[in-house]
Order: sequence, then structure tokens, then C-alpha cells
Amino acid sequence: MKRSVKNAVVYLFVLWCVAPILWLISTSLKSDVDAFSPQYVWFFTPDFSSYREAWVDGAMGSAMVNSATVAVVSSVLGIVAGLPLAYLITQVWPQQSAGAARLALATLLLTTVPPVLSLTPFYRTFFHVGLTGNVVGLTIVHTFYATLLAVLIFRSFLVNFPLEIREAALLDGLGEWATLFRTVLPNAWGGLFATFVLALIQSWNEFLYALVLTSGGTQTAPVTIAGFLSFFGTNWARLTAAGVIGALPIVVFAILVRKHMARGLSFGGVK
Amino acid sequence: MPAATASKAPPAQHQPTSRTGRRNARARLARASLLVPAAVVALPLLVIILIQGFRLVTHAENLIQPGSENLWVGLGNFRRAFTDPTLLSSIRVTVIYTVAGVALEMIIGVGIALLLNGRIPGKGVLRALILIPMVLTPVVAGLMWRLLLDPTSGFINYLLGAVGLGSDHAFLADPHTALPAVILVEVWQNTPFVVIIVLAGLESLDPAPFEAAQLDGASGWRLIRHVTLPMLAPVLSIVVMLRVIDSVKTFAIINAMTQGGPGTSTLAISNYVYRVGFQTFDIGYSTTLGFLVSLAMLVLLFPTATRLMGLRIRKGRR
Repeated sequence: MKRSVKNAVVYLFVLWCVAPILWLISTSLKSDVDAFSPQYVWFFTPDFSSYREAWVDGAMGSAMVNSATVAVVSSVLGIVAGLPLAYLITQVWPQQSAGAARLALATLLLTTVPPVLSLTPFYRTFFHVGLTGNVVGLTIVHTFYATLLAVLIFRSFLVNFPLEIREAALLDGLGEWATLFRTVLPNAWGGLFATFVLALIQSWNEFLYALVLTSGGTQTAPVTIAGFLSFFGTNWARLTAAGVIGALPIVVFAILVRKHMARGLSFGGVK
Repeated sequence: MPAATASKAPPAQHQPTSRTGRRNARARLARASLLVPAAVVALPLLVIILIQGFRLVTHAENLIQPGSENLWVGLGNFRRAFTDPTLLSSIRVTVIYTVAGVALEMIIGVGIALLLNGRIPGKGVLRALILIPMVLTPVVAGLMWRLLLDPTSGFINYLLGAVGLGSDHAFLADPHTALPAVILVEVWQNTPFVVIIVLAGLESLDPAPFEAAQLDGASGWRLIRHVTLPMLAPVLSIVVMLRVIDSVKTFAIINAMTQGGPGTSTLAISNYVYRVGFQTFDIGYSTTLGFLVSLAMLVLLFPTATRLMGLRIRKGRR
């Protein structure tokens, strides 16, 4: 194949990835009539009123605050809970020991279990103790998934970390926790950042638990956007504006930090 | 605990043994404390899944029928599942969605990664742009494509009309095109994941075998077929596994596009379990379905997952 043909194929693929997004953005900037017109309107004056309507009338503003709160809190807690466990099963316990292998395996298997298994048990319990209809229950569940992610990613970063550094620190009289924070963590910033990025994206985009565990003013962005479909079904300008608002922060964030994503994405399967 | 013995210092002669013993106990406690944060997060939820799960699976609880939470049915929910035609059809939808979706993602994704793995103008920007579908909120992706595929005002029909192929296809209302349409969105959203990981894999390959093969006169397709792909095999199998795990859980795209319709033609298993649990409020039965799906996933993925992640529990230590 000629180089120019190869390049053309790649450019076509990128166009295929981006064109729907451009359509989404352009539709959100049209008037209601132009947005819903059977004949595609190519030329129009950008109109931002749909964004204001979605933000205020459609409660996207408060939904964004809810999403950000849940995502940041659960990602941070997930790292706090996952890092020591990953350190334990890579550095403290020999990697091939039964305990380390079993914990790693359990973590991996828990991520493969479809959320529909735990949906009803969580809902039933959380409902009885008042953790539905607010973001607390959802944050707890997202923290659980962030922890699993953190264990798998940190494990992949720490698995080849030389054991001598920890041993030297212990001989110097540092405890396990001090060793973790003063000597191991400074060498695993990449893992920390990758975990934070992916946990944030995972939480922000999560839909099923959010749909069941939150309601009204505590809904996250994806749930609010899905609700728009039934309330503003034919108001395409407002619908697409809500979509752009809900997706924009996380897409921009991901592009800015993309270098940290690739390795975390495959749990260290690809170096 | 093998770790405790591994790092235990030999007892020094001049020290009283009780002090060494105390120090070892302290070290063991410090090591065990590393487990605490994860346990605080995970254990309560796992206990909830076990206790509530068992309760729900064995009762015919329905949220809108007061008193039904005490209706013990034993294995009744399981008997119901084994004769449930909708369960069978939703398994079929999920299998088609996963197999067709992941196959297309792999073929297109590996192809594009191979083409991108060279000199191409604007490579950095291209790599940033293909990230967008992958991180786009799935609900927004589903909503966007639902509007694009709309029979009267959708852009796809506008394009088809412009080239003379008709302009009023109701893709999502036709049982024959609805499933291909949601698979299209699955492929649109997740092919970039394959491209990014495979590209990272390609860039980390040892160049020596390529140079040797090129010296031997191999080039183009033969080089890819006999050198690149075999060397990429471990990466490819991890990508397939991660995509299968993710795609079996699919919920948001289908919920935003068709909610499982028309009829049950796009009703994947997660959407069915959600429908049973939170639209007909039959949460006892819905938990049973969730349990069966999870069991099937574990049985199918357990051997592959352990091998691919380089985890092996030694037989002798069990």
C-alpha cells in the first residue's frame, strides 16, 4: 500500500471518530427550529441560549456539581484504599505467595462481575439506611470500583519495583507505612496519576448505579441527560447542549492527561 | 502467612527472645494494617451482596407489593429463569452484541494502529482526536447517535437522501436494523481503545526481529502476518479480554438509544435485569438474573483472566 493511501485511511478513521461530535456541537448552537429541521442547516448564527436553558432550567448545573463531587471523592478514596493493598501484594508479600496471588485474583474477578448483580442488594440496603436519593450511597459504590482499579493499576506499576529499596528503608527503621509513603510512592507517581485519571472518568461516565441510587436534585450528569430525552424529546438544541455540557469536562481532561492513560488502561498488560 | 516467615530476622543472641517476639508481632501488625483501608471499603459491600443477595434470590420480593419481601420461594426464581424466553433472547442479544462488536473493534482497531505506527503528518493531534469517542460519556454517545439516526431530522438520513438511498429509515424502530445500529455505536465508541493499546504495544516491540525479517526479504503484509502479529499476541489477547468484559456489561448506550426495543430486539442482559428490577420492581427475580449472569461470566473468564494477567495460584499451596 502506498503511504498516501495509508494516510488517507487513517484520516478517514479520525473523521469518523470526530464528525458525530462536531454534529453534536453544531446542533447545540442552532435555534430549536434549525436543529430539528429535516433539511440539514449548514449555515447559521451560533446561539448559546440552549446552553443557558440546559444549565438552569434543565438542572445541568447542579448535576455537574454532583458528578464532580462523586468523581473526585471516590477517586481519592479509591487511591487511599487501593495503594496500601497493592504495596502489600507486590512488595511486602512475595508476589507468588498464595495470599498475594489470591488477593490480586479476587480484585480482578470483582471487576469482571457485571454491576447488575449488586444493583438490587445495594439498593435495598441503602434505601433502608437512607443512602438513596443522595450522593452518599453512589459515592460509596464508586469508591469500591475506584479501589479495584487502584489495586490493579498500582500492582502493575509496583510489580517490577526493586524489593531492595523497601528492605533498605526497613533496615533504616522506617515502618511499612512510612516506607510506602517516603520511598515507594515517590517512584509510583505515574501509577497514582493514571489511577486518578481513569477512576475519575469511570465515575463521571457511570450510569447504572447513578440511575438507581440518585434522584431529583442529587442526580449526576449522565442521569440528568438521559432524563432530558423524555422531557425535551424534540428540543434537539437543548438536548445536545446538555450532552455537550455533560461530556465536555471529562473529554477535555482526558485529552490533556492522555499520556498517563495508555498504560493504566490495560492494567499494565502493555508497558 | 508465608510473608511473615520470609522477612523474619534471625533472633539475635544477646537479645531477650521476648523483645524479638514483640518486635515481630509489631511488624506483622504493621503489615496487616496495609489491608485495612481496602477492607473498610470492600468488606461491608461484599457482605451486603452476600446477605441481601441470598435473601433476594430466595424471595419473590416486589417493591410495589407490600409483604412480598417475606414470600419465600426457595429455588422458584431459578426455575422461573430457566423457562424465561426473554432471558434467553437477552442472552442472545448480548452474545451477538459482544461477538460482533469486539470482532469489528479488533479488526478496525488493529488495522488503524498498524497504519498509525509510522510517520504520518499530525500524528500527535490524530492520537488526541481518536481519544474522544472512548472517553465520551456513554449516555451522551447513545443520545447523539439516536438523534443522528432519527428518521425525519437525523443527519444519517439526510446523507442517505443526498446520495439517493432514501431519507426516512427508522433504524431504531425496525427490529432488523436496531441491533446493528447499537452495535455500530459500541464499535464507534470503543475502537479507539483498541487503537491506543495496540499502538502502545507496537511501540514497545523489540525492533530486532523486524530488521532480521526485512534482511530476509519479508515486507508488507508478510511482515505483519508472520512477525508483527505473533509478537503482538499477548497484547491482543488482553485487549480482547478487556473489551469482552466491558461489552457484556453494556447498559448505557442501549438504554439511551432504544431501551431494549423494539420489542426485545436490542434488550441486552443488563438492560433486561434493570427492566425487571426497576420498571416492574420485581427485585427478587432481577437479583436472581444478575446472579446467573455473574456466575456465567466468572466461569467463562476465570481461566483466561488469571492466565493473561500473569496470576497463578500455585497448586501446592492451596
